[in-house]
Amino acid sequence: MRVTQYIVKRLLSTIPVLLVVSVFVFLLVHLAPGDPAITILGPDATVEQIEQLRVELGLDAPLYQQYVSWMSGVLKGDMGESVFAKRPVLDLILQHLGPSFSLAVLSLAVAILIAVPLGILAARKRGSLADQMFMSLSVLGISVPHFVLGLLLISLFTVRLGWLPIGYKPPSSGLLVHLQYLLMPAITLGVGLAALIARMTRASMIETLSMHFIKTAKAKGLRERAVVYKHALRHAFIPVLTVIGQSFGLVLSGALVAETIFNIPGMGQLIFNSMQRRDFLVIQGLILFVTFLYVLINLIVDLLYCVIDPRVRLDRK
Amino acid sequence: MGSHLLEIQDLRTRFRTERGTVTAVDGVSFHLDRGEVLAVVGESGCGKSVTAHSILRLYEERGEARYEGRVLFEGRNLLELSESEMRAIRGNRISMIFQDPTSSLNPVYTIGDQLMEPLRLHQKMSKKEAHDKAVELLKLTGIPSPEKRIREYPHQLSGGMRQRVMISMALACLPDVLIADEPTTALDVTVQSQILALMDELRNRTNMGILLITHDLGIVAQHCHRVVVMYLGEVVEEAEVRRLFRRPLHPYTRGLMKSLPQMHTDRSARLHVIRGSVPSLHEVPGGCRFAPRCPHADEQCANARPELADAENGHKVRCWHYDKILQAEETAHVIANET
Amino acid sequence: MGKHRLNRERNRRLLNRMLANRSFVTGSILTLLMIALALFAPLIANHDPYEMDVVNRLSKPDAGNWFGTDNLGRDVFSRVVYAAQSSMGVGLTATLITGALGLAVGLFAAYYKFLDHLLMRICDGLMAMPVILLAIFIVATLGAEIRNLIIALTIVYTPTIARIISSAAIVVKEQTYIEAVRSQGASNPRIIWRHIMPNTLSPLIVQATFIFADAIILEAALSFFGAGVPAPTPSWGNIIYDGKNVIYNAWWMTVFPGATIILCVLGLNLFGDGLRDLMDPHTVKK
Repeated sequence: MRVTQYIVKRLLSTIPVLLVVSVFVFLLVHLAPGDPAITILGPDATVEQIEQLRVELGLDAPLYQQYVSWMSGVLKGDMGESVFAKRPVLDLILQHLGPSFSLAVLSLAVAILIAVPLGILAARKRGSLADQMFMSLSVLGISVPHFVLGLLLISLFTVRLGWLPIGYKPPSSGLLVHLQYLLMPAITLGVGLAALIARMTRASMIETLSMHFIKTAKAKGLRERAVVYKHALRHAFIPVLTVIGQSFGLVLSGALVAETIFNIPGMGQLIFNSMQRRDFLVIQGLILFVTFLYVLINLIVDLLYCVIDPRVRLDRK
Repeated sequence: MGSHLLEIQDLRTRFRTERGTVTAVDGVSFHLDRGEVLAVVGESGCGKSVTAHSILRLYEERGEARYEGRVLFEGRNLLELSESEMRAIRGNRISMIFQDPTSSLNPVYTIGDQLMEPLRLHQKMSKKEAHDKAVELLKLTGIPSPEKRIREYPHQLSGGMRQRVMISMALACLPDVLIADEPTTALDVTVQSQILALMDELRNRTNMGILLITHDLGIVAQHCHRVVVMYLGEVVEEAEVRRLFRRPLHPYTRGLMKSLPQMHTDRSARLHVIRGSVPSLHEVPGGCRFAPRCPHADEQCANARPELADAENGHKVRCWHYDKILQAEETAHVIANET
Repeated sequence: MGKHRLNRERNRRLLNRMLANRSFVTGSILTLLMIALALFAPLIANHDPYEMDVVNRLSKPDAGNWFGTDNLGRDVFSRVVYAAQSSMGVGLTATLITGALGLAVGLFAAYYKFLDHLLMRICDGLMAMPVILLAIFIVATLGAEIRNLIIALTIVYTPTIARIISSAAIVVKEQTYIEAVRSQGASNPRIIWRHIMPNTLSPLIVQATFIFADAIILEAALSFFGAGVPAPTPSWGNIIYDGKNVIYNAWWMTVFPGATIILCVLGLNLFGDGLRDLMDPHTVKK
């Protein structure tokens, strides 16, 4: 009961945020120079055609009215229709959600699998040569822009060596094939994430290992491995979880870039194309949707805290 | 001279710091027998805690600490054992409890989990067996409704209860030696006496030896059999508790005792303070280490380090002039009383 | 007299700490190198970055063109050198404006409770959107000019600074000395400006460094999407953009500007790390 209450409360508190975003996005789209109708019909359209399209799309109504009618639609689950694809915006978004989701999950998985063990190792061998190399590599990891890394990977693995393809194949074509296409983009995004996660893991482990209960564990006769992986890691993981939660934002940002370079039909590509085509309902809907995802992910991360850290319970103030 | 339960011989513990090597424990020797409580007293920084940690080799030996000397237990020198042999002793034959029970328990695991660990590790119990034994141990240390508590987390218990849990954990495998490093310092006064009474009772039952590190002379007087007084990494005096309190021999000990307000002290008299302060371990004085602060120090004290010698009936002291000082002070006391 | 000596002693110790911190030293060197590149571009570049030589387009790096030529025959090395001016210039300007704006917003939000909710909600909203999305969006809407680029970067990063300043300011506000000053009759603006603000400066400077680094990456990413510094002015990002379609045969148009971006960002990140270590009393080595 308490869990559901908490979730409902959190979701409600995100409404103001979503409202702010919706207003901001709406204004930006509609105050932009350039008429969507003209862009859609092309430069040869007649004035009557343009006017007709504007009325059809509801662009002739005053701004606030357009906003209200859009938002009321959204609240009912109807984001309008894409002018280009002639399909409901929501459908379009959901169709493109899959590839982006796969990419995000894979990138995060790659990042965590590399980062956490390395971070723990660096913490245990603090101050040694291995640790210094780790720190240097991790700073390098955050300093390499996604698109540069992506382009470099392509020029090496696709052009030079011909090992990995560019593009996208859904999981239905076979899991291995699916992964093959996602490997380079996942590494592209994963490297930056791994650097961040690894640094936090190292810092948190170092701090945890200096705590008194580690001494107690050692005094009980536990082996080094049990002390580190059983006692220290779980406690140290708490701040790491925060970083992982924040990583989702970075993954979504990075997905835009990666999908463009690697030609993946995900949400990033969708919004990019929509911006060029001035498909305004898609733009608005997509940004709102992505923001909502963000919020949802934050909620899940907070719930995970309760699982990992028993001092945090939902009924705390 | 039978063999002792635990015997420290000439223990030295050195630490590498940025400013050079520091010898926190410099040639400490004492012993502990079955069923007795040995107190190790001194101010902060005297090395009593380091000594305790050195017995179980709790410092990282790879970079941090170097041990020398012998710690004899069950006929073996603990300082020469391999790491896995040492692990078999920790929490099993020799256990340790620490000062702050709040930070000494892992906040993300239940009491039960942490309590069962030594049982499953050393006594190879199954989960069910360990669980039952854990409940028993909690009962033993006076924790009410143990079946409920065992599933709770450390932050849900009070400070006193947490220390009881630490004691349960330490006694889980019925160790021969319990090292208690300032076990009551972080607790409320009322809880302090409960915990100490508990330790006494458990000691009577199991006949284990307890090494009690403390700075509180009151605790020493009430709960301990013998005392070792430490100053700046050395033992300066060792005696049975009654002898020490009746006639402290070392000027430092005498200073400590005089610093305690007594019931019969004249209220208008000022509280005694040992002049000066404890020097840093980086700048250990040559000769007798207490000389710079000792009102009776002379040339010999400044230049030559005294040995820990037997004064009378097993009462040892590390001072060149303890007998003369004693005579002088007692004479002064008599004169003062007669005026 | 004694005060002078104390100050000199303190400065010397600070200098020692600075020199001992590897991040800080390496970062400073790299950053200074990049700044030098931007300032002395005309002296370092050996060709005119705008001069086209279509006959020699897309030629490999050689003695004449150290970094090769691009799709219009322009010398890539000179373009990369001059690009330091636009990329770093845009980044620096955006960072300075963001810093000032974020400082103001953060301080006001911390001090005036009713503003806090409003401003922080707006910040949350802006921060809820993926950074690059927001930036591309703004530039695409307003038009691809340097001015709009800076506006976009500012809008994207100000909420982050505002939040950091706000948390720092709230901590300071609760300190007793603020109460003391207020009971002496200091007015609110004076309290904010003279007492609270100076204590938020150190996290501000550290964060600003990281934002500078991010801004350079973001500008490059925007250029990559054609929404950055407009042609023909070179920026590291738009050189890569020009080379996007010919990456298979003209790797130098990606690798060299890419490496330069990495070095610059690396330098700034190291500098920021070092700065944070130096300013944070917690991380003083034992």
